[in-house]
Amino acid sequence: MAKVRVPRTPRKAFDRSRRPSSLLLGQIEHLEWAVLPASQRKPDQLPARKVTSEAQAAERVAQLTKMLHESHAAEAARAAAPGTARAAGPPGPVILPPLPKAVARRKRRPAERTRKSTRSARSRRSRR
Amino acid sequence: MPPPGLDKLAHIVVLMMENRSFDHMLGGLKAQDPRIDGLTGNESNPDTTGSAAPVKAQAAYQGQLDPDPGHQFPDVDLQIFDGNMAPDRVATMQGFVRSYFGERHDVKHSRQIMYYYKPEKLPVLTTLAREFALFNGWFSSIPGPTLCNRAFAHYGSSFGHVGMDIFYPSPQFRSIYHRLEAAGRTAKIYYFDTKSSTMEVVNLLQHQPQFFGDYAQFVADCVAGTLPDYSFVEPNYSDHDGDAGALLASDQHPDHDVREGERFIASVYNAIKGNAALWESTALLITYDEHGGIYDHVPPPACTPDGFVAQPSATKTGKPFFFDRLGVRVPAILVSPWIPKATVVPGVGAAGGRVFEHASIPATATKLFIGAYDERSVREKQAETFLDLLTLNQMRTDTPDFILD
Repeated sequence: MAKVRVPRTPRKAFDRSRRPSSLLLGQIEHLEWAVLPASQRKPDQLPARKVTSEAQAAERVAQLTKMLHESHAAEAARAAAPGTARAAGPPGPVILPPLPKAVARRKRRPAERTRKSTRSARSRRSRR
Repeated sequence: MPPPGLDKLAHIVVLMMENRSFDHMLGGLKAQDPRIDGLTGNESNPDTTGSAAPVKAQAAYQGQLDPDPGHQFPDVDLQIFDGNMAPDRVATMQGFVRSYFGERHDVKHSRQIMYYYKPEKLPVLTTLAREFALFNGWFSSIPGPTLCNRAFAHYGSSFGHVGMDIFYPSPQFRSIYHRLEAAGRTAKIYYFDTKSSTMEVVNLLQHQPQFFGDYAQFVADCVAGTLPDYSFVEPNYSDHDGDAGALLASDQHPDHDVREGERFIASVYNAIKGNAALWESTALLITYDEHGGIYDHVPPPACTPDGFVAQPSATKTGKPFFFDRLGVRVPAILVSPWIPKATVVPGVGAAGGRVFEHASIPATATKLFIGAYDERSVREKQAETFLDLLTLNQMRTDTPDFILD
């Protein structure tokens, strides 16, 4: 049987300060949408677009994913004890946590500096 | 009496990667095996000066596809039809370079969209393709971006969506996870970790977190033999810090390093193969959600309309879309020790050719674990299923091993 060696990816490939793709920004928008009750959803006010690096995007994704799990756990607990839920009243508004701290951009190599995107900010946002 | 591999089959695992076309990843294999519908080396697209930009085996692991190639609906329409909007237009696959030029207005850079990998640069993917079953005709479900394509893998429909908008599925077609749960079966989506989370089924995460686990849980479930009937594995979508240090994105989305995706694919394969009982009872499908704007030479075929219509305001082409054509072809490999070595499933235009798309995923899982089931989309009902490829009477013992450095 063939044994295929799979080398380790070079460390230099890692860049936590890489600009997040529109796919990641879209994921954050979807998660922010999901954690908020319908009455609070105002897409233009969601802070996803202020995310400037992949690491910051990852921290935001983690914040929101944990919120979804916690909210479901709380809902399950309320359902398990309906009397308690009535006494406590309806759940209050959901407050999105502040964005995690941004990561400073990695210094580009000379070859990278010559690359320049001519895409507008709007087209960057629309790409997923 | 089904073949023994199918008789023993108890688990389907799907690993869906991001944004690479068939020719880009596997087109170079045609030189090794002419049955593979890859590249001859003579394919080209015109660039914006009118010169031919040929395919070249010069794809790099990282750095060539920044900015991200366009793959929204109008971008893909341009790539497939080269700007022809006539009613009787024909798919020519001649608009990829022109489309990528729009990102940086750099002619030389735009020609890199035609680059493909030498097979030896992708030892994991090409080994699996040569050792198990490679699909010549697996297409993304929609000529558009990630979310609507991934929706087809989960629901057999995108409910009329062709973009990345927030949407909630209509209750008429339940997800494969709901269906299996209702039938007394088990199913799980394993996302990489909390910082990567799930990409396409946020509404499921919101309402049914019981369907989710992380990749560490997937590996543990493989070791313990507690994998559910159906598993969907998501790679890491971002470079971020984990408990044990730096974690590289493994989704292969441009411009993430493709090698880390290779390692992730090998890791999923090793996790299943590491448990002998699981290995003999599992089929692993590795595919990509869409082509990511990267060149492929096979025109996507027409398909049965699904009853949904995306309006011009959604397609942004000035025309409605009737879900009557598939998206661009993507890599797809089925792994099982019950599949004959070097199986090539013929695709469009070949004798006995078969066309697969992401709706084939829930169609196959439903067929295996539930049986007759009517409450699903027309597209899914008509989608090809793939478990007939497990034809061997004796399990193979010559399958490859991947050694991760």
